[in-house]
Amino acid sequence: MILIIGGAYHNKLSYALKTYNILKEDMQDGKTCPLDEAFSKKGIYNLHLYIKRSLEQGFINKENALSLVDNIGNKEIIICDEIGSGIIPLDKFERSYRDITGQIVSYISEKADQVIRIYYGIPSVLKE
Amino acid sequence: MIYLISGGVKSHKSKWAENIACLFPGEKLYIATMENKSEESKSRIEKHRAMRKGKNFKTLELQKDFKGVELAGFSVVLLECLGNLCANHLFNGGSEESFYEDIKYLMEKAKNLVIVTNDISYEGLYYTKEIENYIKTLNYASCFIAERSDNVIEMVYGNAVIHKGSL
Repeated sequence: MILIIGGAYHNKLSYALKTYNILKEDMQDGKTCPLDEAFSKKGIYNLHLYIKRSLEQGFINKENALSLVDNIGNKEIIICDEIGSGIIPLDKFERSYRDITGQIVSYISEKADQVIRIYYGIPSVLKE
Repeated sequence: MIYLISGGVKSHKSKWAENIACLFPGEKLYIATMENKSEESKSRIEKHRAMRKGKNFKTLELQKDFKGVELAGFSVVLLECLGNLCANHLFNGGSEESFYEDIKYLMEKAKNLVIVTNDISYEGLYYTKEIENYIKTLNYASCFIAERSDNVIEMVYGNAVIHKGSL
């Protein structure tokens, strides 16, 4: 499993598609996919938005958040925005969204064979 | 040579950008895109001016629309900064297209180019449609420049992380 992280709009997806020679259709979009179909394709991008929607719609809660990635199996590619470096949000939901995304991505990072951070489209390998 | 220098606020990206520009002998052009209106921006501008003093920079204060500006006579052009330029286009009578026209003009006409941009990518908060579009436009423009740059440098409180090229 390859985890790709980086700031918003840093060309993470286009890097992955080009580097691993896959089609966008083979990747699930966390922004729009049905909540129970996140891991039905080769990989997923916008994982942070999938986590956000899952929390908003009660698909997961603070206590069972890691269950979201129970059946992540050995997905090839997981792409997620780094969202933890701003001001602590005043809104309680935004705070827990940030916390839970951090927990889930750290969990995936531990499981992943490779972790790559993208900076304006340029990769740095954090783990391999 | 094209250099892209990014980083957070007070990461010393401007200082590094100026030092890099100073590697090129001869007269340099500094394009300042910040609007010179509030007291706060005036004091920032003064600080940057003092930093450049005696380094053979000509300063051009221009918010946007660079087409027609004579760049060929300068050994290097330093743009400070892409974040302001993007805002000047999106929120002050321009568009994403006109923003890219300015970027491409600099990349085509400048002998050497140093572009300073701002890193505003690591916050998950959604503000408004306009701000989300600003972040998206600025970051994709930085990606566009990074792909065409010889050197991409991330500044972290005075320390340089080289993502592409060398110093």
